[in-house]
Amino acid sequence: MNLFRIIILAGSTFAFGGASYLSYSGVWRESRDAAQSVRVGSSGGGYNSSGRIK
Amino acid sequence: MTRASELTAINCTNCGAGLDVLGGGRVVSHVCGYCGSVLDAQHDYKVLKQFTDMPRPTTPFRIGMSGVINGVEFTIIGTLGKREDYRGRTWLWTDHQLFSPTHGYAWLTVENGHFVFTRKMREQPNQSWISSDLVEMSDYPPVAWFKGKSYKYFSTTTGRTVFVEGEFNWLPEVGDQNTAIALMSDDSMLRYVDGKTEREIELSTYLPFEETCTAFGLETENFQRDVHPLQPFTGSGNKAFVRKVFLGFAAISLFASVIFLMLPGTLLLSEPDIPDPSLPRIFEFQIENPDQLTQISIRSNVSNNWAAYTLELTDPKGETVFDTFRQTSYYHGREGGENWTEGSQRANIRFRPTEAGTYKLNLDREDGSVETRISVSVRSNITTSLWTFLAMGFFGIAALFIPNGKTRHNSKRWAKSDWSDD
Repeated sequence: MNLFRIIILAGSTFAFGGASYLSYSGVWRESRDAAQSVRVGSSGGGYNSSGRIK
Repeated sequence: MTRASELTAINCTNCGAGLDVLGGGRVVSHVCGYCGSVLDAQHDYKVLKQFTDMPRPTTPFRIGMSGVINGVEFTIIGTLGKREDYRGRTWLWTDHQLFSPTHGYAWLTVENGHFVFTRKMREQPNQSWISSDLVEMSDYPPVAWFKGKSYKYFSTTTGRTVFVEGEFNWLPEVGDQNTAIALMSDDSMLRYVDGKTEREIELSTYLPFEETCTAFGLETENFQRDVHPLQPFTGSGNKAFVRKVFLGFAAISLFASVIFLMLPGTLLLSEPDIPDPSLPRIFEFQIENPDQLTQISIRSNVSNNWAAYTLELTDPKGETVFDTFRQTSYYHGREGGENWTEGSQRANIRFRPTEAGTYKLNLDREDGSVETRISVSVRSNITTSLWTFLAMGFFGIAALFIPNGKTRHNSKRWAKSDWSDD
């Protein structure tokens, strides 16, 4: 196996390993309002609150 | 009757030119390169006929040259110029008859700067004969097996002899035609040759240009103009390797994504079927592994209505981690003959605790919410398939953009096949 192939294999392993670590850690999946630590008020509910207009 | 084995040279019995005798005892005819006379090698070289105005084919080889092919020394004893005309196109190639005192007769073909070595086969493939009629009637390309290799139909060639010179173990004629059905494997070609007087099956293999030139003492520049059907792929294979590696990692990433999607996390708290009116209520749960993504889930059984809840979470020191709200709203119905749903009975909030200890969740119902029943759960070690999905996309797209040299090479090899599904 030549050096080029070793580099490709190592780079791919590193990229996959990094992606797996980020996925396992749940990175970037935190709720935005949970990180802000501020009181967020409700906009209220209702049939039309979600934008479904009839 | 055979020729005297000690004979090494003759004079043409027509023009008197000196001609080397190189081809062994089974030579039948000797065509003078000077006057084109065909001499009967078995009967004192008497003149049988004479060919004139023969166009000399393009070839770097000359009669009398010797070289080692596949470990056997062969001498070039004859030259045939061949031509095929089909639908306005013309193909030209040169066949050199070879002779080895120990291995007999063979052919060295020169076509577009490529060298091909051909021998008659003593063993037969599983298809003992394939005719042009059979090819015409076949719905699929004919296939033959020989020594564990599969050979698939490649082409039908009708070659006409336009030039003859030297010694041959049969009697060549200018204007002779034979039809060859060629079937090709990865590295060799079976040719079912229907000649003037006999049928033969031949096996052809590709000869590397530089090595062959060196073996025959040629000093000629590579004049190959295209990819020969028998030409092996000579690339490093690095692109194919990278492509395989990327496709492999794309598959592994997909598998990992499915795993991360299915991992439920570690259940820290589960409070099912809580009536709304019992709120506000404080739920406690223990975080043992800080820095792991943790998720609080609320599930209500609202139907065509909504319910909103405030959530205040405090850490082991009593400091507020967040103070926010979540709403569950779920609507469904039937319209225009189709069922529809909107919203969800589930609401989540994900956070990353910074220290271990007991966390307190203060859950209350917002004013205006419909009264319902809820379930509350908390899970830590929440994973996401986002990153492995991105990795899968990266590896997959990268693999698509890497040209596969070997596949492209094989496409070029087979591009000259005359098989048509019609």
